Amino acid sequence: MTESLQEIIQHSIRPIFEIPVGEGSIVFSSTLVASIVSGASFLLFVILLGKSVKNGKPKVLASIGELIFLALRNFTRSIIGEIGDSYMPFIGSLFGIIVFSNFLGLFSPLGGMGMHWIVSPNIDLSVTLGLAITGILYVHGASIGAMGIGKWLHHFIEPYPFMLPINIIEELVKPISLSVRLFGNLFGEHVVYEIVFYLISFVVPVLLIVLGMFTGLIQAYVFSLLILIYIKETIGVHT
Amino acid sequence: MDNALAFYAISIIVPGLTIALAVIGGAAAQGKAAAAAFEAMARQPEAQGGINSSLILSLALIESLAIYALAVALIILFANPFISYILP
Repeated sequence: MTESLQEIIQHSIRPIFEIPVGEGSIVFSSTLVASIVSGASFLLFVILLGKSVKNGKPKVLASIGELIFLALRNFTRSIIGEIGDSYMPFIGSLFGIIVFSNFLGLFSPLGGMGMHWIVSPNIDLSVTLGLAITGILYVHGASIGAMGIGKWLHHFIEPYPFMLPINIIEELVKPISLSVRLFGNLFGEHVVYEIVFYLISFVVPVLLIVLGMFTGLIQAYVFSLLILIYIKETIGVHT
Repeated sequence: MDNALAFYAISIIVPGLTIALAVIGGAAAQGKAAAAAFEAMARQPEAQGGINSSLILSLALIESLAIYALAVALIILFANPFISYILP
């Protein structure tokens, strides 16, 4: 009952279980289950970090939490300065959830043991598009909050009123380019990973795991960096 | 040649060529960007942090162009929208 290589790649996104609702049913695909799992584990991790930091006793987990907090604050401050502190929670959770999702994909060979839900959720364009749309909505919400709705509407007709369609197209292209970048990177890596694991499953995939951790971190960094830069573009010009 | 055979042959050749051509441009551009960044870092080591982050950002933006080509190639390979005209 081993699958061929083509089937493994084509069935990366497959239905896991269904919940019948009325006439039809809600299908839980593997990427949906994987994104729930990675989101829940990220939430658990963050709650544990927060508890141990609040506790006040110097423990390993607490110092890891402080390290992550300081790195994040330096990151946002280096892009938009002191006002970046208010955007830090969103950027941090975006970064964290993408990292957790990407790292879940490193365990995807376990799918051969019947656990087909272990894939990176980001190999599904729907997931990355959802992340990107959330990010862009947050960018616009932040710019409305920072400079008021009048100025926010006015920035669509900068520098000249006839630029309005171009500006609107630019806003629509942002989530598409963000999501296709994340999806393409992760799916390409997933395909390479599956091919190599199918051909030689002895030592060679370890190198790819290291490469996968590196790309996962870089992609999460780039995604949150771009969201930060979009925030800076929309609020920095006018304030 | 048979129509379907020609269709399959072309839709195998085209994704390969797409990736090859896109990667040529992307690799040349990334090399240029990295070389310029290293030169700047060697000239001014104290500005390393800022140069590093903008280098990674520009590398990701250049890479995303190659990734768009990869997405097109994957669509042609795995989800060809015109296959229903050949195989009804």
